[in-house]
Amino acid sequence: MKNIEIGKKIKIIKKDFEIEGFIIPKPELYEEDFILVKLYNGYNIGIEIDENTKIIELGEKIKVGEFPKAEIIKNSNLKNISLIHTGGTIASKIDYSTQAVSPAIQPEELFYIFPELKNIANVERTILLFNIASEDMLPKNWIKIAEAAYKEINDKEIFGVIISHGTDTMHFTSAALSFFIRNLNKPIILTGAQRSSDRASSDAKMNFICSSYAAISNIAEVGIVMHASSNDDFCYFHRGTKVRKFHTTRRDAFKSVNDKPIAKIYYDGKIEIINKNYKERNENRPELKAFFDERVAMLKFYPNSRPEIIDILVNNFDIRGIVIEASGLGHVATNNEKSWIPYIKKNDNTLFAITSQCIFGRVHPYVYTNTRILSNLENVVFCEDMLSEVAYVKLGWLLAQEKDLKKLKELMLTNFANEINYISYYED
Amino acid sequence: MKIKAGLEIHIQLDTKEKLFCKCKTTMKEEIPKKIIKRKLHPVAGEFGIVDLAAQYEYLRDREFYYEYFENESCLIELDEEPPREINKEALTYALQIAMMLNCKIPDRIQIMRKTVIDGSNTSGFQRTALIGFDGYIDVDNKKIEIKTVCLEEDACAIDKEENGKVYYKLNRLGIPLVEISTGIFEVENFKEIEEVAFNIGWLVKTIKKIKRGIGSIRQDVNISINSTRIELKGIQRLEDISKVVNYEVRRLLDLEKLVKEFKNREVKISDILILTDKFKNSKSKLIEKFLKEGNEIYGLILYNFKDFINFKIADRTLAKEIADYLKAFNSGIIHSEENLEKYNLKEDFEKIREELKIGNEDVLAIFASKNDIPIKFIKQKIEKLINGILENETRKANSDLSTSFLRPLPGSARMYPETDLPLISISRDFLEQIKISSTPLNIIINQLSQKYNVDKNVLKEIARKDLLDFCQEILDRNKNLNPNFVFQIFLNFEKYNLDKEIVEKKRDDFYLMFKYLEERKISKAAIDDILKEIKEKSLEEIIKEKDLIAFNKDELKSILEKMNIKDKKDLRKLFENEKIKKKIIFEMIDELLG
Repeated sequence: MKNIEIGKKIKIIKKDFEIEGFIIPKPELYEEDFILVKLYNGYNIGIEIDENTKIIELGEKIKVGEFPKAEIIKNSNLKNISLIHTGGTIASKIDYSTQAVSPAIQPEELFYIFPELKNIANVERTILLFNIASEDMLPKNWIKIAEAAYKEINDKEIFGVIISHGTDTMHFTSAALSFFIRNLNKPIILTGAQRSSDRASSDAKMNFICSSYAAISNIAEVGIVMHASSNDDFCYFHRGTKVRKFHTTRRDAFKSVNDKPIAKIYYDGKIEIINKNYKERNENRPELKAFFDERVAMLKFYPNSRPEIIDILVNNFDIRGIVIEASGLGHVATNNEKSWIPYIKKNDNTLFAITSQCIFGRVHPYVYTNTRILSNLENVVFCEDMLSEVAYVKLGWLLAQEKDLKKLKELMLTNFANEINYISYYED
Repeated sequence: MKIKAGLEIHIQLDTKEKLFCKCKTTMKEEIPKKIIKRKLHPVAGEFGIVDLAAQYEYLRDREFYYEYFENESCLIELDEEPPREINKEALTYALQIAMMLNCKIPDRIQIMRKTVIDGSNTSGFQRTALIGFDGYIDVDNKKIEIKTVCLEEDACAIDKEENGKVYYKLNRLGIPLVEISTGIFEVENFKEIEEVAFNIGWLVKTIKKIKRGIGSIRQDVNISINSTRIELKGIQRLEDISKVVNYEVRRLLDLEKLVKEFKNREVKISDILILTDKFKNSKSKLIEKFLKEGNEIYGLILYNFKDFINFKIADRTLAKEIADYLKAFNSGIIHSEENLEKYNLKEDFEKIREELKIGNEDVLAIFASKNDIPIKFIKQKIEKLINGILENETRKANSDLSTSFLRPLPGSARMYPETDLPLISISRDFLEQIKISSTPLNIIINQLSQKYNVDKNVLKEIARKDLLDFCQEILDRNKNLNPNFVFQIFLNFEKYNLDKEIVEKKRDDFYLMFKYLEERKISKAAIDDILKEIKEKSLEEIIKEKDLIAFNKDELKSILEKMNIKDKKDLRKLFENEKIKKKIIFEMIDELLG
């Protein structure tokens, strides 16, 4: 088959039928012996091409429109916000000729997707930092995001920052920003979408609207603002260090852990504070401490797990800090032939931070003999009710600033961004 | 008059599981376990524009509440989980149907998302795939084009709508639905449209796996007159098609008449007036209620409309027609040419007329609404009419067989690929394997008409009652019965309030009845007695109660002997016994009927 340009109008003549339409690109990973045609009625079908198939070019090309844009209306009565785009589907558009999805973050496009914005805030700046899938984020990206957000919050004209982000690792980024930017004076909001914004049901809409309200609110915290339930009625403002993704697909995938969300943010802008432990908007000068020692790792303990992996990490990759997602109150195998204790003991230049794979609740160094054996080791720290992901980010951040193991242990238990709650309240 | 018509027939497949998830397709649950609230937002399609129908829906700003039924809905229906791979059982049936309708089958099928924003799909689109194209069906020796056969997910059924809140049932969402679209054909007698729909439905039933009951087969009719296209949705019964089309054609012709009349007069429409202040002191209870609910009162002056506002459009006045559009926005119209005393509004209207210098030939119309969206919408509609434009619309069939505005006709710019699912490869071997043979109705009727020597129209009528198979079975079982007699019995079914469903339920009784007839155990004249009661009672009960067992010769002989009847003179004695009299009369009738 000769190569016909994508988008061309064609007629395919086969033994028993003829059909007209436009050639469109095939999805990735498909074999070569058919072409995908968009029929005039909008449906796509694939037709196999053999030596008897005739294809006639009909000259015309498919007409694909530009993504619509809305006029930007700046309202001097409204507060200014900045938007930093890092990836994900919160603001995306489909290119119908290539069927590819790309970010739609020009203010004109945003106003088109979220027309309500014009009554909430002025999007003073939109910054396309990068377009990285959640799973491809690296600590160096966290640093870039922190630097960009820091620059924005230092602008007196800007009331708050929204960062659009893929959802899978958003809670790592929110933890990183919580540590990297000290002395925060205004809201930094991370948000995303579980349903892409090409569909009318996308959660992006409410998440973005509520994030805009959050960005101009009084809550000077790094937070994740996403659906509180499957309903389109309000979002939660989760503290950046006390939140985690709990569901692969649901809108309300993010839940606060060992903490209450700070606020409910309703679609119409009403804000209901449900956790008074937050910093209010202030005149502080924020400080940027965006660094990260990448020689950190995270391991999960499970029955029959191989502790030798610790040696490999330390010897081959010079790993300096390891978060162990231990069982229950903070256990690893201690009394059997696959005990982790000798390996932790042996690697005494590496700090081991113990969190629980139970996710909810606190680790405890003394309840059982086995936790006592573990917690007695010089290079082990039990991380209270900290989330494993948060402990991981915190450890990398601290390692970049402190080499002394004893001091590191202390710092791990120092509360920098409310990542530790010392009291466990009873919550439903 | 000739119109152009096309049909879209939707048929629910009776599969075990839904099209894109493993939920049951039973639709039996009645009490929702949860109700989820959602909003939908219009999105630009591939041509960079938001579809007109979607825009309209956005203006209506409705909230959608989804009733979640256990076992019959899951996160996929809730738009909280991506679809699973397409249900192979459903795909097989749909391909079988496409092949029966002589369609070509694509080598690769791509599932598409068709934008639907009336809330009936939680996602904001309906998943649909074209699985057959370029087919045909013969109907009464006329070749009707089958443009496409699509396999799609059924939408939610609406439960109720109140104050801009729409309640949908999630259990119908995702049930496999085959959509068959015909090409455009010209008809003069609208019954022909029913005929086409019936023939398609009849053929499709060959695959047996079709859901039964109300709403399991739904037909939409597209009609176009001059350059106006109307899609009529929700016609529940086949025999209503011609009546609904007839109403709509009348409506369109009357509108054309009105538009023509407009040209002879200088009709105009004013800008939108906000009259809320002028009604502040109104004595009208209705206005008081509107204001209390937080509505504004808007007004329009329709210049030179006095003769037109009550112009008859099909069975409604123009004012009623306007009200029909406003209903979609929870609003309505009150105008100066109706009985204003009913609302205690005469004074208010007169005052405003004077203040605004509204002429005698002009109509003042007022509307209550929370915002100006409905009035903007209706103003635009009336302006279009004044300019002689009849817009394309999707309308729904009402239970009284009239039609109501549903939404603007969607454009074609509303389809894009379902990116969550791969292409489906259809091998020619697979198609050969699943192909089932079927014969179109008209060929079957020709054959049966010859075989039994029965009029074709009788057979068609029996087929309509969906009893053709059963009749054939009866005739196969009872070779001595007269086919015409058997068909006549079924033809008269309505007289006894009987239908296919009762035959299904009482199958054995019906077998027995015809067996007795064949064996002459009962007489033909007894059928009337049986059919009258068969719904409530068993055959044996009826026969016993009414003593319907016919005489045989030996029996008669012994009765005559017993009663000592020896010659014709004594026959009178025989008739003194009512039971015996009845049996004898029945025998006589049978003789007469042959």
